[in-house]
Amino acid sequence: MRKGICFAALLFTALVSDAEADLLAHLTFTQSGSTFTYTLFNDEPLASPNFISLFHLEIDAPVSIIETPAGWDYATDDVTYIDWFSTSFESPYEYDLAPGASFTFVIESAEEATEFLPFSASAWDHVVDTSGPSYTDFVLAPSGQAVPEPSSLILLGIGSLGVIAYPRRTEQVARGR
Amino acid sequence: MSFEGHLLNRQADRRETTLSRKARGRKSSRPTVEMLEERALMASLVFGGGSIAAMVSGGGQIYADQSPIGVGAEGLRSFADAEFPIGAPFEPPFFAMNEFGPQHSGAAIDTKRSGGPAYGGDPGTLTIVQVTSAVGITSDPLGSYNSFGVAGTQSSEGNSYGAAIPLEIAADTPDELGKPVEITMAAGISGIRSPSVGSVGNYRISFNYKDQGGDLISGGEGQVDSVTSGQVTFNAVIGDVFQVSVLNQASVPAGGYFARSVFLSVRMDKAPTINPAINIDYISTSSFITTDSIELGASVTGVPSGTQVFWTVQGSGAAADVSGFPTNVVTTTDADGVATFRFTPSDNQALVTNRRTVWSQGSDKQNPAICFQVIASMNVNGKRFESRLSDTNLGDLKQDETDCLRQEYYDYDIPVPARSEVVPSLGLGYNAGNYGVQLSVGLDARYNAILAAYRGRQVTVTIAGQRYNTSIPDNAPVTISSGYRNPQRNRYVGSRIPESRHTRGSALDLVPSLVQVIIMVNGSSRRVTLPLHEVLYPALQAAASTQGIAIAEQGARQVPVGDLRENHIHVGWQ
Repeated sequence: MRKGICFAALLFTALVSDAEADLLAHLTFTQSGSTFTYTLFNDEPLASPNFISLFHLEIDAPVSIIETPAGWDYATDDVTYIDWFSTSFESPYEYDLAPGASFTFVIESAEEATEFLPFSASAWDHVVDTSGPSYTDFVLAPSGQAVPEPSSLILLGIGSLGVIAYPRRTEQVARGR
Repeated sequence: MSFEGHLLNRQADRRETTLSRKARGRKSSRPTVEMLEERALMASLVFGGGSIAAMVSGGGQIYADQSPIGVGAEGLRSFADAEFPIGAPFEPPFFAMNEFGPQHSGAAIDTKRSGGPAYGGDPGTLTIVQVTSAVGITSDPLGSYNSFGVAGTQSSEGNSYGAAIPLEIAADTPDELGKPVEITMAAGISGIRSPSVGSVGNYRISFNYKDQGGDLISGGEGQVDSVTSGQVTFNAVIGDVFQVSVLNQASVPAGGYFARSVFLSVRMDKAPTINPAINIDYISTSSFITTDSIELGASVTGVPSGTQVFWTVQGSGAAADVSGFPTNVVTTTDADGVATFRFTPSDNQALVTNRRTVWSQGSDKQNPAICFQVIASMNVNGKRFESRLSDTNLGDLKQDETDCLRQEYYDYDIPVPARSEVVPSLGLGYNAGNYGVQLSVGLDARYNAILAAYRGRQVTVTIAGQRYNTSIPDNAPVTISSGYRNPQRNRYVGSRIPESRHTRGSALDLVPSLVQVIIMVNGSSRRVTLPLHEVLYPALQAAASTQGIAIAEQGARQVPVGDLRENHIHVGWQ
């Protein structure tokens, strides 16, 4: 059962629907058990000066950062957000995500539940050498707010009763025999 | 061939139609007092409460006496009559009739056939023409047959003729409107002329009881010969306006047969045997919250006013497991046969307890709707009759999404927003609730204002012990980690304050994303990532303060602005 969950991979592509879409980008998400993989695509035209240098992801569960693109670093509180950023500080900012390219970010969480949470990607204008456009949307991210529902509690209670009752039943059967 | 509807063109007809249709409706659509007084006055003018003989004319000439059927306004009367002042000339079209009809009592009538042979000639196509004569009508007391000549025809094989006659079942008094009656129509043929062949033709007469739109309501057909007649009986209500037509089909051997006249008789019996019936046909609302008073009405027929109606309410949906709703509550029917029942769900303490325990634990899913089945029943002669709301076309008594959301506020014992305060979802971020609707006190406008105040804001960053002035980039992202939360969601995410500003749609939790700027460090241009807690959070808190009270929080706990524990800026307003 658990294997089934672990190997079940989800694929999600953030839709370009909300907020600011000045930057052409998209984010895909796959989940395999407790591993969450995000691939950020820079969809700007190849001649565009806008290279992605920042990726902000909100989360709602304790996580570990497993994979970060080369030349990038991150800031996080390990629970509510991760801010990945290119460490290039001088032109030509070689580690920035170029138009047409993609980077993969991998995190791991003990929580396999997800919910839609916001993310943003921001570009750096390599021609003007200034902050460029950004893109904000929502994507599935680890969520640790899975408080048991009343129905779950009932099921848990029934299950517990079963566990308690089983040895007694076994004893009775044994005695009967 | 039939001739229907051409008698219905007059403005007065349309006005009467309106009156009568109103009269057929439920209590709420019945005629006003003014309309009824007008009707009563009209009836008295036309019928005079007795056997007034009106002079009628066709083509401007007086032809015959006219005594409307149903004199006394108790029986049927011609629809056209209603607009015919006493003594005034009749304006065609009225009753169509051919020259052979013996029912008229006026002077000789000119033949107005359009085609076909003259009397005594070969049968041919004969078209019913417009009024050439009024029709002699005998007026009999209620319950007897009123006969009148109608749709005079001359027939030939394969031809059938008829004329639609609009009739109204008139009321003596306003109280009679809507009361059920039984109508019997009979028709027969007389005056057969058979010049050469001994047998009688096959005359078929149809009765079509149609509404004003021409749709068949009820009909019948009888095979009749020269001496017998056919008849059909149907139920109607006083105030009905309908059409009736009689068709005369003849299977005529060579040599021809003629139907000299066709008559139609109509009998009306008031208060026929009507089976008792009850039907829930009114509900004050289709959606509700549990503190709303809900009113239902049931129309009852076939029993006298004052009949007891028993009402029972059963919970379903989210209230399926709750007992204690009204059971066999008695109300009585009024003079219109309507019984009314009101109930307020929260009068049931078991429901209140259920809502404030089971449904206030927190959830990330929509609450299921509360639904009610309502049953109205009556006992007549030891037999039970009932009507279930779910079997009517009124729709379910079920909370819609807006009221499911509003219900949560009652469940948490906090002020319930008006329905007008609930708006369609503003989308992810703004709506962190469980529904496709939400509350919003300017959430989007406040966010945009905060964003504008944040971007471009002057900040200071320290690099290697040196302080540098810069500004937040004009496209710096700020994400909304939480906006509106319904009470159940609010509890689910850990808030112990049901009346949080998030549940009123007047708070946002905002998170700044990292931004990068160019700073000249030791004479060289350098791209710097501005630190979250040292720079961005304080800048965002300051920007948010322009729109309300803004504080830094870690989860639901306030922390100092710039503290490493902060993970969003909470801003709320009235």
